[in-house]
Amino acid sequence: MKIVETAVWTHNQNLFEELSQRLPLDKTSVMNIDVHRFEIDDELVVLMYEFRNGVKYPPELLDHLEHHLAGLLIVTESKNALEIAETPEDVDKLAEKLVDKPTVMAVKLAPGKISAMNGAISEDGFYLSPRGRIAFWHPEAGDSTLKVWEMIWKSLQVS
Amino acid sequence: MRDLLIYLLDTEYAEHIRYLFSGESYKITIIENLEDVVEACQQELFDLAMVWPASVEKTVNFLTLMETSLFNYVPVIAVTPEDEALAPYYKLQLVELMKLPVEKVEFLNILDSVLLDVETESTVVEGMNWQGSLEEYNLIDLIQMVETGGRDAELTITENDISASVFFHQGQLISARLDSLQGLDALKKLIFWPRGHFQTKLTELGSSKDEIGTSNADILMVLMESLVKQEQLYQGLPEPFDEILRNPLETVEEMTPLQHRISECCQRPLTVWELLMTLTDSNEDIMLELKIMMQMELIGYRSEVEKLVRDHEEQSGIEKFFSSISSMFKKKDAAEEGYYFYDEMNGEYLTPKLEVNPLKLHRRELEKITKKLEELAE
Repeated sequence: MKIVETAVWTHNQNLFEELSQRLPLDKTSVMNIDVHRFEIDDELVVLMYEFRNGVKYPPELLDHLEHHLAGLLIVTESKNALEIAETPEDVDKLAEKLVDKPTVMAVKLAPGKISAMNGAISEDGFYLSPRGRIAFWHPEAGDSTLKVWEMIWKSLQVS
Repeated sequence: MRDLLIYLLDTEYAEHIRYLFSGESYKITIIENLEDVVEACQQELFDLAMVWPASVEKTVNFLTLMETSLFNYVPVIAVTPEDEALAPYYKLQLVELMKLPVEKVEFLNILDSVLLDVETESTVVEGMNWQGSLEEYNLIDLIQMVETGGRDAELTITENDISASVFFHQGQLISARLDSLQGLDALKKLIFWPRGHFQTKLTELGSSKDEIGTSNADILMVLMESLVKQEQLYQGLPEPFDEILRNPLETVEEMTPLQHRISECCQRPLTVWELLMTLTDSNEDIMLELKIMMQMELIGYRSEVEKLVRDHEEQSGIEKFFSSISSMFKKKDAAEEGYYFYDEMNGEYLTPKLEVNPLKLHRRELEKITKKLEELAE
């Protein structure tokens, strides 16, 4: 079985629940961090480590996980998006550890704003860097949440 | 058109047999005497034989005759009368056991299913257009078979998603392709295919250039030498379709370029055969380096490597706990040289960091994820 591990940093727990509500996830806890298991089939499993804003995680945990994590998903909403730049400590520590890993920033917008977007942008988001993209979602905006998940896993593709 | 041989033991069944096959595209040869079976097999290439109505004794006689006459590659079905006990047949080399009476539709379905199952194991020869399994005829056999026909032909060999082509002009092998490999390099890879499906078809290659430029006899000699060498080198390696994986717990400072390529390929589980086909280096070189890497435990069986990693992760948690206790008592002397290292900043011995290469997703895996997400979207 192949296990793909990704980090998910969220501004608050509700955001993760909203973003993942359509995924059949099994939740467990490892060293006080919530780990969500998404089984694709018997041969492929995705593990998502949920890091929450404001929670202090022991550095040993990050040291241990950094070798396993294949990518980083930052989940926020438009009103908080700038805070990530202003108070970067938590995210920064995580991003520093995962500096060479694909990163997707998923920003929650009002559903109307997403439908008003150009189709290509609402579908694939914006390019940020060779390993980074920004995507927009809302649980009521069509399949936008599933598109976010697809985007992060797509960024892990090698061939 | 399928050729079927029916060894008929009771002529009362003949009419029913004709009814079952009426309107269907099967060529039926009915033989009533066992002594005529061999002659019939010499004249026709049967896809399947049926003993009808079967008794254990008559079926054993038939199977024995087929075996002694070297026609045991023909799959056999026993069609038993209603009151016949089936248990004694289970020990016999039969591909199917049918009990009478049987409805026409059911009968034809079973027959189709059996023929489909045995198709990969049997070779169909119609003129010069053959198809079959490499387990039955290997590349050396096939080259000689096409050479005997003396015609222009293309031989295609496929296994999983990999396909190779060998071209003949008037029976002379003139070129071969396997992905980016050509000529003898491609043939030397192909000779080691343990299984695969082949197909030959007549074609016109009149103006094609002879890229190999040597006789079939010389090519066969080179291939046989290469096969012997590859088989020798392969000894001690996992079976071709066993999965192997890079062991992330073992590292070396320097690797040869080929070892590095092997290491890269083995970041995800793959079979030894896939590794041999993925790399364009010669099979001999790959086998040699793979053997070295397996001895150094850089590469291992997938199941073993995954277990090692799991055990190590569990162990490292326990070691961390003991390490912190040991640091309280400053038991520096107890550390084993070479495994633990001394952290001068904190004044304690630590275990080495676990270096695990993060897994990446391959196209097929991403397709699976996308499909799953699409299902969730519905």
